Amino acid sequence: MVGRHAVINRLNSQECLGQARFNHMIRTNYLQVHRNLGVRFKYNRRLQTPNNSQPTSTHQSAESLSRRSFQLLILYILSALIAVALAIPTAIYLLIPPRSRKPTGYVDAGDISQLPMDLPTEMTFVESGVDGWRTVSQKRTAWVVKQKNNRIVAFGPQCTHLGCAYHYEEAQKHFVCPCHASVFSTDGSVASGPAPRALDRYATRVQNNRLLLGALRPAGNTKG
Amino acid sequence: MNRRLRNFIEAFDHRTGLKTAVNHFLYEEIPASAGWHQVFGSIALFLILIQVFTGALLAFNYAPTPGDAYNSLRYIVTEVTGGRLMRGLHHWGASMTIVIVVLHMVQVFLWGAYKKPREGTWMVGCILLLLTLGYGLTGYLLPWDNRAYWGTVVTTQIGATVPVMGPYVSRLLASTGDIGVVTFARFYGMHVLLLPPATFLLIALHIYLVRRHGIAPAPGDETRPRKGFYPEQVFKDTVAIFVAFAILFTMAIAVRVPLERMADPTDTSYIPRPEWYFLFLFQTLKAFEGPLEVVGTVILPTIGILALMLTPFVDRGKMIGVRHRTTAVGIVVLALLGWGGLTLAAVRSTPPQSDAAKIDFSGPTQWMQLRPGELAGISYFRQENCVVCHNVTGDTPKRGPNLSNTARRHDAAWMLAHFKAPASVTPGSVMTPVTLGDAQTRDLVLFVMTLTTENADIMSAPEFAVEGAVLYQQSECGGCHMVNGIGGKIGPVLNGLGSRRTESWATEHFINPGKLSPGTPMPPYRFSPAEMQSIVSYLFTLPDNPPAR
Repeated sequence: MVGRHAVINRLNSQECLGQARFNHMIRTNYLQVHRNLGVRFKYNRRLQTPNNSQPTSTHQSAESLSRRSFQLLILYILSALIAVALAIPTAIYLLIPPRSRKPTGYVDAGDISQLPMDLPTEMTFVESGVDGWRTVSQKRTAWVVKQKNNRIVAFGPQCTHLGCAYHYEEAQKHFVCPCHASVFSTDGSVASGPAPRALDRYATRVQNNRLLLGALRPAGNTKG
Repeated sequence: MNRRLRNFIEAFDHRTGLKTAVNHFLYEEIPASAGWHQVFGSIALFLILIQVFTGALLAFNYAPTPGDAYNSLRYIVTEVTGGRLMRGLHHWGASMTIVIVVLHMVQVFLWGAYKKPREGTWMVGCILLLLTLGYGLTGYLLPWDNRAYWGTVVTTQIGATVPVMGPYVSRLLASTGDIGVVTFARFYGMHVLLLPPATFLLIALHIYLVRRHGIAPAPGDETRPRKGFYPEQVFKDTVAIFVAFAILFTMAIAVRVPLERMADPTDTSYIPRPEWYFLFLFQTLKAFEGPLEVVGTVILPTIGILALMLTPFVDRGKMIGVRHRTTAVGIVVLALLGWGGLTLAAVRSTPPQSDAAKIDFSGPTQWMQLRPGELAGISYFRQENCVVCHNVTGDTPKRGPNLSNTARRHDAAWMLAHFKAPASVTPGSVMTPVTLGDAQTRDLVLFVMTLTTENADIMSAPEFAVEGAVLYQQSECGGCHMVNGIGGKIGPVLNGLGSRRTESWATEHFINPGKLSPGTPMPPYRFSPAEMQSIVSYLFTLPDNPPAR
C-alpha cells in the first residue's frame, strides 16, 4: 500500500489537479478528499508499472496520435459504408423504372371494312394502360391509311418535330402540323418543314376486318 | 494544393463561420467517464434522420388517400425496384427508433443524468418520446390495410374515452363516424407535416441543453482529466450507429413486412392488434371494465407520463455512481418485467387470424397466379391422395414418378387417358384410376401440367383459395369472367376486384346481383356461408393484373 503522502505528492504532480484546487479540497472536506484518494489509488496502481510511472511526453503523445488516427480511419470508413448503403438503394429506387405490369399487346382500334382507299381516316380507340398504381383507360388516336396495295398503315397522331397533333388537309392531300408547318405525305414521309423524320407507325394486324394496333415505333428513315 | 485549399477554407470560414461552428461543436470537452453507455442519443438521432429520409422516398410513390394509399403501397412493394427495401427500412426503422429512444432514457435514468441542472433536458426528452410514439400511432394507419384500419379504430375509440375532452378528441381526429378520408388525411398530416418540425425543434432544444450543461459527469470525474468529444466519443458513436444500421438494413432485407388485404370496415372477423410496442397498454386496458375503463385508457398512462416527467424533481439527491443507484436499477428491472409480462400476455391472448386474413399481399405468390382450373386441380390432387405415390419436389423417391415437369414428357390428352385408365397408356402401371368426373379430371390434368421444379410452392395454396377455385369452376364463372388471363368477356375481369370492391359488396353481389349492378345478366348464386367465404376470399387474392404467360 502506498502511503498517503506519496499519493498526495503524486496527485500534486498531475497536471489535471492544480495545487490550489487540491488544497481547497483538503480544507473543505477531508473525507471527500479521502474518498477521492481511494479512487486515485486504483487509478494510480495502473500507472505504477515501471513503463508508465514516469511516461515521457513524446511516448504518450505518439501512442495517442496513432490511436487517434485509427479512430478517425474507422470513423470515416463506417460513415462511408452507411452513406453508400443508403445511396445505392436510393438511386435504384428513384432511377430504375418499375417492373411493368403487362406486356403491351394489340388493341382493337375498330372496323376497317369501310375504309376508303388512300384517304387518311382518324380512328380513336380506348386502350387500358397502367399509370403507376392505377389501371387507366386512355383514349388514343391513329391516322389510318389503306394504301393502294391494300396494306393498312396506322400513324401515331403526333408530329415528329415537337409532338403537336397534326391533321389531314384534304385539299393538299397531305398531313399538316399547325405548330411549325411540317408537312407529311400520306405514306408518312416528310414533304417539307422542320420535322426530323417520317411519322411514327403503330404495329398493325388485321383480324376479321378489325384493325389491331400494337406498339408505336419510328418508321425508319423513309424521307425522300 | 494544401495551401490553396486551406486558403479557400479560411476565406469561406471568414464569410460563413461554418468551420468555426463545426470546430466548436466537435472540440468539446467531455468527462473522463463518458463512453460507450452514452451512444444511444446519437443512434436515436441517426435513426430519426433515416426515418425522414426513407419516409420522403416512400412519399414519392404514395397517394395519401384511402384505397389509393393501399394500392400505391402495394405498387411500391411489388413493382418499384428497391421499394420493398425502402418500406422495410421505414417500418423496422420505426420499431428500432422506439427501442433506442427507450434505451437512451433507461441509460440516463440509471446514471441519474437528469439531476440538477439537467431537468429541462430530461423533460424535453420525455416529450420527444411521446412524439416518437405519435409517429407510430399515426403511421400505423397509412398502409390502409385491415391491420392499419382496425388498429386505428381501437386507438381512436380510446381517445374518445378521455373524460370531458373525449368528444373533442374524436372530432379532431374526425373519428366520430367511420374512419374515412378525413381521419386518414389528419393522420397523414400529423405524420408528415406536424410531427417532423416539432421533433426537429425539440431535438435542437435537447441538444442545445445537452451542450449547455455538458455531458453529466460521474462521481470522481472532477479529479480526472477531461477528454475530447472528437474523435474519441464520435468514434464510439459512429461504431454504435453502424451496428444499429447494419441490424436495420439486415432486417429490412430479410424480414418481410406484411401487407394484408385492403381495409374493409365491414369485415367482422378481423382481430385488431396494435403495434408491438403498444401491446402492454392494450393488455392493461383489459383489466378495467365498464366505468373503470378510463383508468386504463387515460389515468394510468397520464400518471406514467407525469411520473416520468417529474423524475428529476422527485430524485434530488447528489450524483452517485451507477452501481450505487440500486433503487433506479430496481425501478428499471420492475418496469421491464411489467412491460414484458403485459406484452407476453397480450401476445398469448391473441387468437390466430383466419387463413384469409393472414394472406400477405406484399408480393406475388405463385399460387395466386394460377388459373382457376389449375388451382381447383390442387383440391382434386389432395382429394385423390396423389402424394402417397408421387413427389412434387425432389424428396426421397416414391413408387410413382416425380410429377414436376410432367408437361415436358406428356401432353394433356395423354394425361387424361392415363388418369382414366393408367394401364391403357402405360402398360404395367399399378396406379389406380382417378375417381373424378370429366370436368374435375380436366382440372387435375391442368394442375399437374403446370408443375415444374421451380413452382412447387403452389402446393402451399391455402384451403379457402382452393375451395374457392373449385366453386368458381363448378359454377362456371369462367364462362363470363376472366381470371388470370382466361375466361369469357361478357362480365368484368375479376383480377383487381380487391382494389375495386369490398368483400361484403362481393358477397351481397353473389346473393343479389341485380340490386348492386342493375341490368346485369349475372344470376344469383346461393352458396353456403362457408362456401361464400371461400369464393369471395379467393377472388380477393387475385393479383390486380393478370400474370404474363
